[in-house]
Amino acid sequence: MVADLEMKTLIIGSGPYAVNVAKDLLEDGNEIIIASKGEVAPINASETDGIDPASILTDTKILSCRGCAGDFTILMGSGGKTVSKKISGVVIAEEYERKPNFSAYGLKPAPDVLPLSFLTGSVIIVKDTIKKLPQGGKIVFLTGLGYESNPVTAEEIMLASLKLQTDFNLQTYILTGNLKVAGNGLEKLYRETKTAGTVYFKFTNTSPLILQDNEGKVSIELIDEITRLNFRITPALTVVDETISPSGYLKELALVFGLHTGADGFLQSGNLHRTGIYTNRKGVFVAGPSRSVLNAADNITDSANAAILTSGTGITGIKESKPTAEIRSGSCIRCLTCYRCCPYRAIDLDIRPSVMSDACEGCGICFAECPRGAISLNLPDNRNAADEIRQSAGSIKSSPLIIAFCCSRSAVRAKELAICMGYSLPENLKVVEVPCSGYVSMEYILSAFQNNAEGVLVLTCHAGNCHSEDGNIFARNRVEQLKEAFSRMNFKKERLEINTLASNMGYEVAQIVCNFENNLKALGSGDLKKQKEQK
Amino acid sequence: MESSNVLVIGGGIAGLTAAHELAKLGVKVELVEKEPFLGGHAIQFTCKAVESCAKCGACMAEEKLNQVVHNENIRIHTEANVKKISKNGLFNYTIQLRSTSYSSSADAVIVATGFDTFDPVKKPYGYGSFKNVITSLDLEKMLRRNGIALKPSDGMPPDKIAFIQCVGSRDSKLNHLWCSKICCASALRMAHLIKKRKPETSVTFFYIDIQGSGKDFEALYQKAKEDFLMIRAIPGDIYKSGEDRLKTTYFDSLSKANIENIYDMVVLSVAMIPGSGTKEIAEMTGIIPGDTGFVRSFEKGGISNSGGVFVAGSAGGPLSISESITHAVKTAWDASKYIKRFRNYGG
Amino acid sequence: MNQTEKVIGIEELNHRRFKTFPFSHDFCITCGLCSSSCPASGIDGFDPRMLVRMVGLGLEDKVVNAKWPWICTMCGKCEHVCPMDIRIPDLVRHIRGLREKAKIPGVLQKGLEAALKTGNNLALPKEDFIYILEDVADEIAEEPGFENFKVPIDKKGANLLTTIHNKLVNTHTEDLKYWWKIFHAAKEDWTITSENWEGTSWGLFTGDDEAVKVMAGRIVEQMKRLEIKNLLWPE
Repeated sequence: MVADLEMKTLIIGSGPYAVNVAKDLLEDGNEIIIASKGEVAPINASETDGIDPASILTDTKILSCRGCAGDFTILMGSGGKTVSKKISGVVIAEEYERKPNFSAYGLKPAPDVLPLSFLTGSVIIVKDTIKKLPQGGKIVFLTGLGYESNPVTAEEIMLASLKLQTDFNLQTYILTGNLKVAGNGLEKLYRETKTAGTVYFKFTNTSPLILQDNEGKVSIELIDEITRLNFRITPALTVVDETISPSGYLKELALVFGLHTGADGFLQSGNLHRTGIYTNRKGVFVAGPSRSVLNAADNITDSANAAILTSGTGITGIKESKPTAEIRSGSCIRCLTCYRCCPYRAIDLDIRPSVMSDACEGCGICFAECPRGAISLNLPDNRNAADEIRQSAGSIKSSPLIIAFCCSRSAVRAKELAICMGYSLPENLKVVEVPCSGYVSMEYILSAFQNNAEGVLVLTCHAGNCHSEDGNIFARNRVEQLKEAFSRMNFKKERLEINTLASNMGYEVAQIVCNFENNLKALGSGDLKKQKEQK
Repeated sequence: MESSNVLVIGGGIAGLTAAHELAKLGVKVELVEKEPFLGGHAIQFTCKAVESCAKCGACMAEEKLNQVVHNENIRIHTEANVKKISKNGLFNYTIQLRSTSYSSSADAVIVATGFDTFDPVKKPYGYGSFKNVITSLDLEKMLRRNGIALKPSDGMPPDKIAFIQCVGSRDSKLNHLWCSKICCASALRMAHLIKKRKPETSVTFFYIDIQGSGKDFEALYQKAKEDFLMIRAIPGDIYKSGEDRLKTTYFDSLSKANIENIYDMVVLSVAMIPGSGTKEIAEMTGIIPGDTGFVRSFEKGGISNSGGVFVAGSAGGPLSISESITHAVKTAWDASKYIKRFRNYGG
Repeated sequence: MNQTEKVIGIEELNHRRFKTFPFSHDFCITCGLCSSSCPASGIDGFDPRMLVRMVGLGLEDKVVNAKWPWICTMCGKCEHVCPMDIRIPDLVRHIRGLREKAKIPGVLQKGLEAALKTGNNLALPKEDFIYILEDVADEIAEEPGFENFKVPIDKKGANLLTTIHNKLVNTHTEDLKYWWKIFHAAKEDWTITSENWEGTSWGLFTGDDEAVKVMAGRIVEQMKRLEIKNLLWPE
């Protein structure tokens, strides 16, 4: 715990968004540094007024980040030199990269074929382009054809279309697959555009035929699916939508900070345990265009909230007391397995790795993965897993003993729910509750069998829903390795199973354990070594 | 400085999230919920994972519940209603419990009164008359309870199911000119779940525009187009067919004919509408609902005029569970910022 | 792409052609509820959603010359289920009104023109009309209980004026007897006018508001002339 924290927040970004975040933070009384890979390019120069130029580092790349929330040491490479800064919190605020979808529509950029940002950008450029259009010229917007669009793009297109119809009296057409109106006020906006004269063509089973001649002129032939009539549109201007993508720099930042990324490259993986601007690493936040495809209002909210979170208790938080891992330096061989597998980046590397208890969430992945068993982690409430496994050996009844390692977030709650719902569970089911399935080491599983379990279940959260991101993956790998080993021994691999669950799956958990019990009964006991008798 | 207090009205996913987030920041929370249970709608929803987490957020209700119930900074009242709120620097309020009432004060108020589901009884689908015409919420509860879809009439699994989207949403006649955002993905996921558990089930999906975006959604939609019959038209009346089956027709633009189909069960994806509780609390606090009936923070009027009344979650408009959580987290941060300012400048 | 179908250049269309129509048709989100509920969907290859779409696009020729607007019974089911409250029956009627008079199907225009010219669809002269009425009245008077039955024509100051559907003095004269007997038994003070007595107003079906105005105007005129306060218009 760092007392009298010197709150200095590092904002990583080079565009107007980073500048906005900086301003919000400054307004809240925070000290900031902006680190930009290139120049800092706000919308206009005056935007950086009020920010001490000394706190803006340009041409700066982040090299490494050590420490934990409230006490980071960040190495940056700036103009050939390496700079080290003490930072309390980090906000990643890179801009979007908007990639025009010309090729998705079979088009090449041309004077009359423009990307959407053109119409949402500087007012002067837009007005000139529009003025040059011929009288009665048609404007066609292409979005979400052959892939799904999104409400942010839909809103931009509808607003642009509305403006073109009402202010410039131009006829606009929007060609799309599914019209995305799942956003505040979008249904109303849709109506407004139609009242203003926008014509929509929606495609389900057909696609428009989009052709472009050598001079770049576009002609579109389509079937209107409602009337089944064929139309040809020769637009004076064709506007193509863009894929709103994360900045290319995010990949590097993810590696430096040890952050999980989503399938689309943003710095949140969609894991429900990370909401708002949180990442898997405490003290490192991701805002707006670095986090997800968001509309302007949501981006602004993220920025405002970065300000709140990066001060005082936002960084340290009121820590819920839980056991943290400890590395016995005498046994540690510095293989760095723990460092590499910690999802919270709670391992600090000095001469020997050590656990930063402020950052440790007690998941147990390092404990289970350490090849030397050099890491200890107690269970909450002074429980001891080894003891619990041993104690179950004494309770032999008529039905097979099943030891189930249950993640406290999902399986344990599901089991309680099953009981509430009135589903019956096997009478000889012994639950060992673990903070994360990543805690379930191969040793514990084997110990369970050694203590007379006829079957062992490992019940984890669903893939993508593990609080530790990969705890369930680690567990699965271990189970599969053991099953592989069993299959080469005279030991039925069906005795070990892994299933994924959520906390509200009462019916399913009952099904799983009951089916497991039935399978065990069918397996008989030929491959089981009779243990020492009950004492 | 003594610790600050916040009154959170509503114990659904947004209320629970806001309460927990505030508690983490050291704020004391009083949570009031009118039902005898916490978790609102989210806790009645089913897990929709098929191969991996579907990110629907239903399990988060249990998670949040667990966090809140064990947190010593949060005081919970269920079967309780806020009867009165007035402002005199602080917000003074009275809560009606089952047999007593209780008064206290708070630095800020968070309205997390959530939504109601649209009752489709007036729509021509026979909801309320035909047992096997159910709403999406009915289906959620059914799947959560039983793991598979079962016909309410005889408890047997249906062979043919139809989903009708946008029932009560995108409806100017009802003054619901909004899209409820979550129903397309939610219904598609439930359909996938049903089909996973009983592969022989046939699913027809009637829609206007499929909502949803992002990489996860593309995969989901692709699979839906392969496994279900996706029809871009909304059917008219539902009639009884035979003993226990349901007949409905829709117009197919390609063949230019009305096509009749018979189903065992029809699921109506009903709209999210402003909650009845929201209106009452809005009146008390002066956050005047917009023309949609949903409310927003920072509205001027009544005791909210100088700030301090915030809206979290779907009381402000249709949101998915994960969006409600994000929204509520942000509301908690806004509230804490307000309190800090309020305290700094005196009140 | 169906190559045999004609391709319409979008510049040929004036999307604002029907903009002034007050039927909210540009609110359409093509949900298809109207078509799914319409009993006439698919007839002649048309349906209400298609009609609304054509109006929105400005395809004037296609809608005005189509048969379907005349097949539609304006039952109103479509409007009832439409979530955007689009007044489709009114739209249908308005489209009918755009058609060249000579191309209006069936007897509608002929009957209407006769009514505008002569006061009734059949161009039935006044004397013949009165003759038929009195003939029916005589038959009623032969029945027990109706001995002194008379049909009041052009009675000034009567309480109730009633119009006559032309079929009642043509092919369905017997039907007059039912309600005339009720009037008699109820001791109602009623009357029929000898001119402009036509109860139908086929401008309603042909979308001809001017004609409807004329027909209604004539009845009002009669009521003023005969100083009658109440109108029974059983159409």
